[in-house]
Amino acid sequence: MKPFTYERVTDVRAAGAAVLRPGARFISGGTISWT
Amino acid sequence: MNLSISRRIVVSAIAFIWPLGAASAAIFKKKKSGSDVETSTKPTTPVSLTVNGQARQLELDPRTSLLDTLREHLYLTGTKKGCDHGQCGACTVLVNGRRINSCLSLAVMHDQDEVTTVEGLGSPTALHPIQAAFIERDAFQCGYCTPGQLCSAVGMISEAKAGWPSHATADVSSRHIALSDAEIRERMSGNICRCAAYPNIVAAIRDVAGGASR
Repeated sequence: MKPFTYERVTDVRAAGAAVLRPGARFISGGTISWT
Repeated sequence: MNLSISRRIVVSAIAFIWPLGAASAAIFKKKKSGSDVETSTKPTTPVSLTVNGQARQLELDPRTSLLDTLREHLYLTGTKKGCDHGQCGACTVLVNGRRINSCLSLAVMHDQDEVTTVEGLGSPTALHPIQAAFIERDAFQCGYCTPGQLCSAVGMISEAKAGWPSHATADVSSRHIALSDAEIRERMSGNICRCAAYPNIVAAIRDVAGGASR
């Protein structure tokens, strides 16, 4: 399994910024960033 | 005479086996804590949960499901692992009052959330009304699905009170949902009972939900 970090964002802007990171994926209710 | 001898043998056997079981459990626990040390080099994430009214601070591998967190880290084994992929409902718990399949949710997604498991619904001396109704109506056989059924029923009754329609609701614009048997069956359809105690589960929920028309 791939390790990952999880980020819980509170608004759309933060979600947009987080998902721009390489490998980042959305999961319902938040954003996961692959490391 | 024969009966008393065989009883004595049985009691002696239990007395012999019991400490062996406890010893193996202790060894198993030691192994588990050993594996925790091994995995400590993997990245962990701090997670704060309130579980059954108690604040719990955890350091978790972010891949840990809420179900495994409850069972393996907090030792709340009332919540059951049936299918581990959201099909059986045995792992249903309440998160901030809403029912979810804890196997399909990562614990890190619930930082600061309030979780209620079957252990938090009632106690042996003060059962939650839905627990009492399940006993009264004989709404289980093996009992494996029951913790999920109970949490799901509590969440479902709240949803109906809040006016949430279901697929079985004739008038979806109505604010008042009468929990008929068809409504209860539809709303509880995510909780599978291999023993097929469904008629009694429906009856128990109907009792607590206010005895809506059948």
